[in-house]
Amino acid sequence: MTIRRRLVYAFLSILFLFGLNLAIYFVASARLSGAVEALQRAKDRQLLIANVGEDINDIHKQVTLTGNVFSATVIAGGEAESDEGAPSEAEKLEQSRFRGQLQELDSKLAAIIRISNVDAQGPVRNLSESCAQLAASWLIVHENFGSNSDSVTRAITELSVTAEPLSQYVRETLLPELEEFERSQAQIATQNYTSVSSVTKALTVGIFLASLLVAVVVAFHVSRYLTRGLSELEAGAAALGSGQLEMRLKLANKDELGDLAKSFNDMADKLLAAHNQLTEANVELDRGKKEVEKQQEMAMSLLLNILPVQVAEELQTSGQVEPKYFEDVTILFTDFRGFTLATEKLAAEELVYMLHEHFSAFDEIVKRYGIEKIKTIGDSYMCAGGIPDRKPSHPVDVVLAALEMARAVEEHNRKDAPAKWEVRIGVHTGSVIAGVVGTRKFAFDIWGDTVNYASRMESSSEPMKVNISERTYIRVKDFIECEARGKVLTKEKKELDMFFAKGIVPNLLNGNGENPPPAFKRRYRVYFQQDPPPLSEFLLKHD
Amino acid sequence: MRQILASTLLLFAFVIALPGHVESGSSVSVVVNSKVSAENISFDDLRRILLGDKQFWEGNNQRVTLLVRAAKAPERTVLLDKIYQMSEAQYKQYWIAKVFRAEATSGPKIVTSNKMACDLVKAIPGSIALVASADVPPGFKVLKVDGKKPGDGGYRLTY
Repeated sequence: MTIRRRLVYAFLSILFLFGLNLAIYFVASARLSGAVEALQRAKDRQLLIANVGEDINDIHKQVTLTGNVFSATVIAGGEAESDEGAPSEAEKLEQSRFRGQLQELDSKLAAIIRISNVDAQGPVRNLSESCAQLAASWLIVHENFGSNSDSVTRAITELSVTAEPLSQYVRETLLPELEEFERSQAQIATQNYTSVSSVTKALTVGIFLASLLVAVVVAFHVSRYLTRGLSELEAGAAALGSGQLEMRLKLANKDELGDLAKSFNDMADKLLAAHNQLTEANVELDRGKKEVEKQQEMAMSLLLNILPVQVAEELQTSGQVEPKYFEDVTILFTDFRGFTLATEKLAAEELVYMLHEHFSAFDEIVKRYGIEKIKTIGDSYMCAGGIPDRKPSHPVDVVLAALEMARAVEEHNRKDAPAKWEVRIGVHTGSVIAGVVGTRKFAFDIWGDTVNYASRMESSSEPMKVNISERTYIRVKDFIECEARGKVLTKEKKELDMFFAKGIVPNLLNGNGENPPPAFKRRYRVYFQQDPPPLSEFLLKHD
Repeated sequence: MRQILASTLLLFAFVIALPGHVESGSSVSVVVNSKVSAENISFDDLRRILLGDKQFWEGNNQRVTLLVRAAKAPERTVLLDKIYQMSEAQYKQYWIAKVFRAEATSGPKIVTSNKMACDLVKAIPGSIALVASADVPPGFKVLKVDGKKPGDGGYRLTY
C-alpha cells in the first residue's frame, strides 16, 4: 500500500469517526429534545391536573358556600321564596360566571387530553367525563339554590345525591390516580431524559476517545513507518557519501519509500559503475601521466645535458631564450697536446674512448665546482664559471677546477692507458654574451672577446699547466699561488701578461687536515659569502 | 273576670293553634331515608353521625347526608343543645373547619322547614334529619335512640 493511500485511509478513518460522532450527536440531540419535550409535557400535564384539582375544589367549596349563603339568606329574610319573576341581574351574572368557571375547567381538561400521549389519554378521558357529569350536577345545584323551596330541595337533592359523591370520587380517586399516573409519566420522562443524556455523553466521549486513539495510533504508525524508511535512506545516503558505494538499501516496501529505495539502489549501481570507470580512467591517466613525466624528465635530462638549468627552464616556459649579457665570467679551455698524432696511432673507438674518459672526469670536476660546461670541440673542452649563476667565486672555482683537470689527466696517464696525453689549460675572466642558437639541436653558447682571450690563454699555456690571464690572476691571487710568466707572445703576436697557477696559497693550507682548510674556508667566506666546495687531496699538499 | 279568663283561654288556644309550634316537652324524631337499614341507633352513634365523624351507614355503607333546620328553629336548638352542645357560632365554626380540613365533603344541608326536611329525607338516600315528631308524616322511617322512640320515657331528644 502506498504512503498516500495509507494517509488517505487514516484521514478517512478519522473523518468517519468524527462524522459518526457528529451523527450520534445529532441523533442524541433529537432524542434529547424529544425527551425534554416529553418531560415538559408531563410537567405541563401535572400543572394542569393540579390546576384542575384546585378548580374542582374551588367549585366544590363554592357550591357548598352557595348552600351557606342560601342559609344566611334564609336566616336574614325567612324562606327565599321567589316563585314569581325571573332571576335577578345579579343572579344571572353569577350564573354566567359559574358557567364560565365550568367551561374553563372543561377547556383545561381538553388541554390535558391534547398534550397527553395516546396511552395516557384513557385516565384523562375518564376524569373529563366524570367532570362533565359533575359540572352538570353542579350547574343544577347552582341554578336551583335561591329559588323556591322545591328548587332548593332539588338543589340539595342533586348536591347530596350526585354532586357530592361524584365530587368526592373525582377529588379523592380520579385526580389522585391521574396525578400518580402523571407523576410516574414525568418520572419516566425524567429517567428517559437522564438515560438519553448519559448515553449521549458516554457515546460522545467514547467516540471522541476512540477517534483520539485511532488518530494517535495512525499518526504513530505512519510516522514510525516514514521515519524508519527515511532513516534507512539517510543511513544509505551517508554511507554512499562516505564512499561505501557497495551499500544497498533493503527496503522491500511496495510504496513510495520502496520506489525511492529502488531508485537509490539504481543510483548507487550507476555511481559504482561510474566510480569504477573513473578509477580505471584515473589509473590509466596516472600511467599516462607517469609516462609523460618520465618522458619529460628524460627530455629535461637531455635538455640539461646541453643547456644550463635556468636556460632550459626558460626555454620550456617561453619556447625561446633571450641572449643575456654576463659582465663577469671566467672561461676555461683545455686542449690535448699530441692529439692529432694520437689519431694516427689509435683506433677510432679507442680514441673516442679515451676522450670520453677524460671528458667524463672533467665533467665530474666541473659539476663539483658548479661550473657550466659549454661544449667540446674535438679534443678541446670549454667551460665557464659565473654563468648562468652569477656567483662571485667563479675565478677561484674555475682555476681550482683547472688544477684538478690537469691532475686528473696526470693520474689517467699513470694508468695502463693506450696513450699518454698532456693537457694545456687556459683561463681568462671577462664579459660575454650568452644565448641559445637554432631551433633544432639547441646549443648554449657564449660569445665575446673574453672567449677568444681564454682560448689564447690555452694556446699560450704549456702541457699540464694552467695558464691564467692577468685579469684572472688579480681575482685569484689571494687564494691561488701563481708563477708570473711575464709578457708572452700569443699566436696573434700580442704580448700579454700570463701566470701559471700552481696551487692553493700555502698559508691557507694550515689546519688539522680539515677539507677545506679553515684558513681557506674563512677567506673564501669573507670574499664570496659562501662555503667552498671540498677540495681534492692533492690541492691540500704544498709542493 | 270572665272577660279576662276568656281572653286568656283564647290566647292559649291561639298559641296552641300557631303553625310549627312545638309544645313544651315535645320530642324531636330522627328521620332517615327508608333505605337506611338501621332501626335503632345509640345516642353516641347519632352524635358521631351528626358531628360528621361517621359519614357512612353501617350495613349498606350508605353515605350520610345531614339535613339541618335553619337557625332559630326548635329542631336546631335541640340539635345544638343536646347533640353538638355548642352555640350557634361554635357550630358554624366547627363545620367550616371540618370542611376546610377536608374531614367532610360538605357541611349539613340547610332546610327551611320540616316539610322540606321530610321531602329531602325521602329523596336522598342515606339522609338524616331531626324533625319535630308532630311534623313527621306517616310512613317515614324514624330511628329509635338507645332503643327508645319519641314519646317514650327517657327519650333524650326533647325540649
